[in-house]
Amino acid sequence: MKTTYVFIGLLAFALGIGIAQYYLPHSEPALDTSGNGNTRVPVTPGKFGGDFTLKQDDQPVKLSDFRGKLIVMYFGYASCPDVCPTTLAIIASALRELTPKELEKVQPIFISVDPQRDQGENLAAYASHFHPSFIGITGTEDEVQKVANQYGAFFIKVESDSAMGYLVDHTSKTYMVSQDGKYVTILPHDMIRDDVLNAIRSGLQ
Amino acid sequence: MKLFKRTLITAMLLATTIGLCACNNSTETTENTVPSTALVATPAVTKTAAEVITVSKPRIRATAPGQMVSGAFLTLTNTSATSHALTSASFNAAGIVEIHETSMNGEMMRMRQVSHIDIPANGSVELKPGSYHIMLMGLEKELSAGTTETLTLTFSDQSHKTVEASVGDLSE
Repeated sequence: MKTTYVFIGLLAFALGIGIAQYYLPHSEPALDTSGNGNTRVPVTPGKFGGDFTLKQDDQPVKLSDFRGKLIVMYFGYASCPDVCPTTLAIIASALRELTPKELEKVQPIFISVDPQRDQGENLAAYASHFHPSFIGITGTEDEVQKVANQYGAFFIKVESDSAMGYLVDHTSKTYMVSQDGKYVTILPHDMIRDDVLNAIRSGLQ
Repeated sequence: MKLFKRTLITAMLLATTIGLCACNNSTETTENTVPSTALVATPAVTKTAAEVITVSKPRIRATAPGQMVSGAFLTLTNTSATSHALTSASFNAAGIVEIHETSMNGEMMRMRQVSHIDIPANGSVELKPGSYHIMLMGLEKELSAGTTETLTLTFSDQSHKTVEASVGDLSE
């Protein structure tokens, strides 16, 4: 009896790993790893990247509306006091280094994976607090989950003893979608300002 | 049988007491090696955690309009030979303050509440993004960059220390 449970457990574990292998970004073809931890991945419809529609303050925002601009995208949640705002501040400090002409061609987007707490105006205000060009978008939990899956980002709600109630565990990568929408450059969680700046500048060339 | 049990418990209690006395003696011995007239005035020679822990780089993340949470970061250095711990913190403008730890679990970033942060003897611990932070929740006001706020830290021996932290947009 006990062995059956163990067997089922192992099977579930193996299945989990299998699914993770399928979705996790490292299983994607790493076309360009120039030693800086970035990964450049071609958009493959139905498999990786591509278009989606979420909302900013009830207004639909479609990724392909920004075609022609380099998109800098980050998944996080506004009540995260630590890694999310640090990453957003790093992106913002890179944006501040750009010339106005360069900045015109860049669209930074914060995608909230916590639609329950990050709503409408607050989310927009949160995103633009870091840099005026930032927009903050989200959707229903299912919609956000779908977009995250599309890009290999993960998040999961975790109940906690904290007064926060639930917490959200999530991957902390930055996704840069090329101006023609055909490639996504993935930057690691420990990127610094110059990594973002270099990736933006090489993306704009 | 009952008598045996009672004797055993008494013996154990006695042993513990002796043990504790021995500990006290040993700390006193080390303290006594420090020549100080203050020792005469205050027989309780052990310094509180607040007295031996120094705080550097205290900072709080500025909040966006409507944002109800923020994080405070600082470095705690223990200048004594006794280990201590940060057990809680408080902040006037926050309804609730907790100690949290952020860590990378594989590719996942996770944040959890912790009961305390150890500050090792003659060592230091850094509260920084991606590691420990003081989580400020239910903020009653916006925290704007360039201002200063007062935090109160409480250590494992119940001693307190107030810290003036600068508010800023933290990108490292």
